[in-house]
Amino acid sequence: MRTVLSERTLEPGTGKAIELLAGQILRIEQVEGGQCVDFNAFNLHDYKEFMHCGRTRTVHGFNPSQGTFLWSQPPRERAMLYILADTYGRNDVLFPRCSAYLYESAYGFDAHTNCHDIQSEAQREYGLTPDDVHDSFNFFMNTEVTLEGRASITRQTSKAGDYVDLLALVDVLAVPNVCGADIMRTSNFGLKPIRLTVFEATAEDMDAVPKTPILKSQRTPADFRQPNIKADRELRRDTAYRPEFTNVPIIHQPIAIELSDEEAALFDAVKLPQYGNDDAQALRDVVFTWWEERYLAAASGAPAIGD
Amino acid sequence: MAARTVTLMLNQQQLALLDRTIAQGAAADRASLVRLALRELAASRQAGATK
Repeated sequence: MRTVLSERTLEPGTGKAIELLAGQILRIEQVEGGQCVDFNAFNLHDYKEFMHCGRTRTVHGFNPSQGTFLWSQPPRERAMLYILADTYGRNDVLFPRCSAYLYESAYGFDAHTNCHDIQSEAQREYGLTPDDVHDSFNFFMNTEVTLEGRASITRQTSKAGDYVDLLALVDVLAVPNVCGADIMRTSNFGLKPIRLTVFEATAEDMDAVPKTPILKSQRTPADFRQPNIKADRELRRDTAYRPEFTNVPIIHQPIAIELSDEEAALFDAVKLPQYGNDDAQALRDVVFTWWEERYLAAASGAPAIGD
Repeated sequence: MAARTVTLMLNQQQLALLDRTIAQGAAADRASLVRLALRELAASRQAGATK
């Protein structure tokens, strides 16, 4: 049985920054149903680490749901939160937050509820600025990609009582907000309240989280060549800067591969026509395509072959 | 007797990946690994074509 630590209702047009410590669960719950909830998350002890939709959708697809993680951005790339439960099962990491610009440019509003400004106002409680709002994870948002390659929003069918449980794996500032889009399909043309509950996770909850890798590439400011947060707005060149790009220079080395008649025939059968008569490029493609198909299993973020 | 010689141009990172794969026992050396890749990819494509 989980212990309830706090409860609140998010009214339409509002958001709330919540300190969610590792081992606590934030439940985001529909009160009436049909309401999208935008979401930001920051490392509570270093706001420069934050939830990254790009990393998250690369690992878990366009509609992450129960059993997936919310990752932080490179070079941190840690699992920050785990979706422990999701009774509706439709969320979005394709669309950006709606903004004042959208409502002014497309609809002519001088002022209108919008996710960017709601997030900004909620985050301001912790000293963050409007520039600190990051790409949002959009809970209860139905989206799809058209054959023409565009993302589109469809109406949703979440009901009262549907919820998502987010288990914090590190201490985070979790910032949900009621999406401000009342003149779009996102929340079926309405703004409704959302219930937020924070629980202490049980041992069973913690045991449900799959292991994620701990790799040396998951860097922190202690590893940065420039670890200090820039505190002024003007960009000025560092005259002492000397580039230190990884593995540069890139040096190529020839490897002669002698193919038998049989191997040459196999090669001719599989080489891609786009390489024309360039057998070197075509064989390189064969080698690394084979490697991907045989070894690459990194969808979970786990390494295929380590050192 | 080789029917054809193809000269791959691989950079140090690509070679490192192949060498790690060899170290795990996939093949004896780089040339053998390339031939293994060719045979297995061809077999995979042939199996896919006959399904």
